[in-house]
Amino acid sequence: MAHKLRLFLTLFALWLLLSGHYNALMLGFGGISVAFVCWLTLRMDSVDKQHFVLPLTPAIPVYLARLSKRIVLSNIDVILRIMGLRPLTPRLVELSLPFSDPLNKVIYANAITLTPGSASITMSDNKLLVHTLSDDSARDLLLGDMLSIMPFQSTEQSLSLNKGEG
Amino acid sequence: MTEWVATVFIIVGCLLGVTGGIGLLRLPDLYSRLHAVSVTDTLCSFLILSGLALESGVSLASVKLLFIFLFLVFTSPTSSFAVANGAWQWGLRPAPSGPDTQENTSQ
Repeated sequence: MAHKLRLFLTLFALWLLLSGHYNALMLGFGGISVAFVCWLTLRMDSVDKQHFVLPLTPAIPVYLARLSKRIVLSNIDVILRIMGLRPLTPRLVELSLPFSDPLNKVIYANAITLTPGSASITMSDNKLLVHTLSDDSARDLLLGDMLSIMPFQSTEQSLSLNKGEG
Repeated sequence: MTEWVATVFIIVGCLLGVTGGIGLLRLPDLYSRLHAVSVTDTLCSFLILSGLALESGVSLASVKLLFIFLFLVFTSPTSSFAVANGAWQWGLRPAPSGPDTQENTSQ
C-alpha cells in the first residue's frame, strides 16, 4: 500500500511540474490519468515480476558527485584526443564483475558507458567487455577506479578487488 | 552577471557539440566514434541545458530542463550500449589494436 501511495504521489508531482495547471478541472483530469497509469503499472508488475528497489541512502548523492567529476575530467580528455593533442590508443579490456545482483551490474556498466572514453560492449555472467579510447583509461578501469565509487558495495568486495587486480 | 554565465555555458556547450561532431568524422572506427558522441551526450547537453535554466531562473521551465537532463542521463548510456552491443554481436571488431585474444586474429 505504501508503495502504491508513493507511486501515485510521485507521478502526480511529476504531472503537476510538467503541466503547470492548478485549477480544479485540470487537477481532476490529472488525478484520473495518474490513477490510470498507477493501475496499469501495478498490473504490469504482476506480469514481469521484476522489482528493483533502489535504496535512497546518502551514498547516492556522493556517488553522483564522484561520477560527475569523472565525467567532466574524461570529457576533457576525450576532447583533447579528438583534437589530436593526445594520442589515440583504443583498447578492449575485460573487467571482472564482483557483483551478483543485476542492479549493481547495471549501475556499474552504465557508469562506464556514461563516462566518455570508455563504453561497455557486452556482459556475460561476471565479465564485462569494455572499449576504451586510451591506454590510460583502460588502466584506470582495471585498477578499479570506477569500482571504488559504486554506491552499494560491501567491504569484502573492495578488499577482493585490491588483492585481485593490483 | 547570471546572463553572462548562461551565455558562456551555452557557447561552450555548442563548441563541445561541434567537437563531438569532428570526433565522429575523425576517429577511426565505430567503437571510438561512440566516445565522441558520448561527449555530446554528457557535458555538451549539460552545459546547454544548465545555461538555458540559468537564463529562465527558478521556474517550471527550469524544472522541465532538469527532467530533460535526467532522461538523457538514463537513455544515452542505454542507446550507446545498444549500438556497441549490436555491432559486437554482428561481428564488428575494433580496427587497430584489438584484444589479446584469439577473436582478433580470426577476424
